[in-house]
Amino acid sequence: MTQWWFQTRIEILRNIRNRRFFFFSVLLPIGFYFLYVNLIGPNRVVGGVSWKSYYLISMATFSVVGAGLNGLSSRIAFERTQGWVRLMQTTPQPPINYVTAKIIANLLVNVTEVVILFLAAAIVEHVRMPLANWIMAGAWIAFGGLTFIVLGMLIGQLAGIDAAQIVASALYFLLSITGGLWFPVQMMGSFMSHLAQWTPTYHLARVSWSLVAGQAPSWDDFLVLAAYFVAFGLVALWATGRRRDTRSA
Amino acid sequence: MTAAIALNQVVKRFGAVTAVDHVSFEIEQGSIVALLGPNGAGKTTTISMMLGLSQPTSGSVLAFGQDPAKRLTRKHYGVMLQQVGLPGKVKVRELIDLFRSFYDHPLDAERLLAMAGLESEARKEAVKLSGGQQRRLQFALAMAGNPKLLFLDEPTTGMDVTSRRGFWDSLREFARDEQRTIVLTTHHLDEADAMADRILLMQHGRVIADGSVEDVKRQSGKRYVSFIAGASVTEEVLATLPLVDHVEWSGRHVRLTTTDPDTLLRAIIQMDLDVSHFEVSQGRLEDAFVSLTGSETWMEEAVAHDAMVVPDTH
Repeated sequence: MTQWWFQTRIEILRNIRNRRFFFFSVLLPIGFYFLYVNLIGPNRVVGGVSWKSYYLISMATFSVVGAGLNGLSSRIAFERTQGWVRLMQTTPQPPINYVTAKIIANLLVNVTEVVILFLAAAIVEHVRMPLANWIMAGAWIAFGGLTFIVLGMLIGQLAGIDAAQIVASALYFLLSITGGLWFPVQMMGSFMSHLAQWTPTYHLARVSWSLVAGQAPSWDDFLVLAAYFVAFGLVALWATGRRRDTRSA
Repeated sequence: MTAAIALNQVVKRFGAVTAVDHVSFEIEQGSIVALLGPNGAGKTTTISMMLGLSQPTSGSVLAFGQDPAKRLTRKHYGVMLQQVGLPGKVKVRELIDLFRSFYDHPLDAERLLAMAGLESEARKEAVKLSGGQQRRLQFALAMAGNPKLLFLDEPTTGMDVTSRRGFWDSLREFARDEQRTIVLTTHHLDEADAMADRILLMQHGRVIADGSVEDVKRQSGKRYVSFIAGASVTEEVLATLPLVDHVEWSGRHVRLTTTDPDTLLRAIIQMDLDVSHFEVSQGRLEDAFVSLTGSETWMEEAVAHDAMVVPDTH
C-alpha cells in the first residue's frame, strides 16, 4: 500500500507540475466554452436544454478526452523506450502499481477539470440544475473518461515518443469533432450524425447530455463505451505482453 | 552457501541468432565480478536473464537459488542499467523515496544522497541534472534497498574523472561487507582491473576466459618487457631482437610484446644495448583482452561509446 501510494503521489505531482498539459486540457476547453456560448446564445435550446448547459457537457467531455489521450501517451512512450520501464521491472514492485498509479492520477485530473469547468459555468454563465444532476453528469464524464485514459496508454505502448504525441493529438481533435463535442450533432448533416453514433466521445457525452436534460440515459451509450473500453484494454494488454522478451542492444 | 548467481547451460536465441551459447558459471556471494567482452558478445543478454527481464531459451538461471523472474527474488537486487531516461517533473529526493518504498529495509535517504554526492541537488528536478549526476542518482536508486546483489551495467559512463573515483570509492565501501556481491560491466578496463576479484570474458555468446585478473592476463600468454632506450637504440636495432611480436614507442620509452621474456632479456643484455629501467610485466587487462578476443577495436569502441554521452559538467 505504501509503495502504491508513493508511486501514485509522484504521478499526481508530475501532473500538477505539468503546466502545458493543464493549459491544453483546462484553459482551452474553458476558452471554447465562453466563446461558443456567447456566439450561439446561452439560452438557445439544443437537445432539449439551454445551449450553455449542453455545451458545458460537450466541453467537459472534450477536456477529459484530452487529458486521457495527451496525458499518458507520450509519457508512457518515453518511459517504455528510454529504459525506465525496464528498470522498474528489475525492482520488486508489482507492475500493476505502475499502471494503476497512472490511472488514478489521471482520473484525479479528470475530476479537477470537470469541477473547474462546472464552477466556471455556474458562476459566469449562471448555469443552474439540481445538485444530483451536477454530481451525476460530472462524475460520469470524469470516470467514463477512463476509456480515453486506456486509449492514451495504448498509444504509448504502440508508438514512439514523437509519433505518440502526434497520434494522440490527431485522435483528440478527430474524435472530438466527429463525436459532436465542438458542434452538436443536431447541427450536422446526416452523414456526420451517423458517424457520431460510432464514436466513443459521442456516447461519453450523451449520457451527461441526457442527465442535464432531465432524461434517463440510454443503454446503448453505456454499451458502446464499454465495448470501446474493453477493446482498448485488450489491445493495450496484448501490446504490453508482446514486448516482454525482445532483444536489447 | 548458495551461489548469488548460478547459470547452467544457458542458451538464448533470437530467431536465427544465438546471443548466448551454453554458458555456465556460478558467482559466489561476496565477490566482485566483471563481465567483459566486445560489443555483441552477449553480455547485455546474459545480464538481462540474470535480472529476470528475459527468459533463457534453454538452461537455467538462478539467483540465491530462486528464479530471478520472481518478484521476491528481486528484493535482494540493486540495478543500474545502461541508458535509462529519468521521468520528467520528478525531484531527486522523490525518486529516491519511491525506490526506498519498494524494499523492506531501505537505506536512509540522506545516506543515499551522500553516496551519490547529490546532497545539495535533492530538491532539483531529476532530468535537469547533468549526465554524470543522473548516473550517480541511478546508483543511489540501485542502492535504495540495501541490496545483497548489485548489477552495474556501464556504471561510470558519462561521469568525469572525479565522479568516477568517488563512485568506485563508495562502491568499495559498500563491498566491504562480505555478504555483498557485485556484477559489473564496463568499457574502462582499468576500472575492472582495479575493482574485480574475477573477470568473465565473453565473446560470440561464450565465456572465453574466467578467473582473477592475474589469471586472465596469464591466460593471454603475452608478456611485456619495457625500458628506456638510449640514443643509439633505433627501430632497426630492435628489429634484430628475437621473439618480439610487437614494438611500441612512446618518446624514449619502449614496450616489447613477447611470449618469452626470459630469452628476450638475455638477448638484450648480450647485445649490450644502451637501455635502462627494465620492467617485465603481464601488461594491462586491456592487452590480455585484445590478445584473447583477437579484437583490435577495444579502445575505439570505448571512445565511441563515451562520445555519445553528455559529459559531466558539474
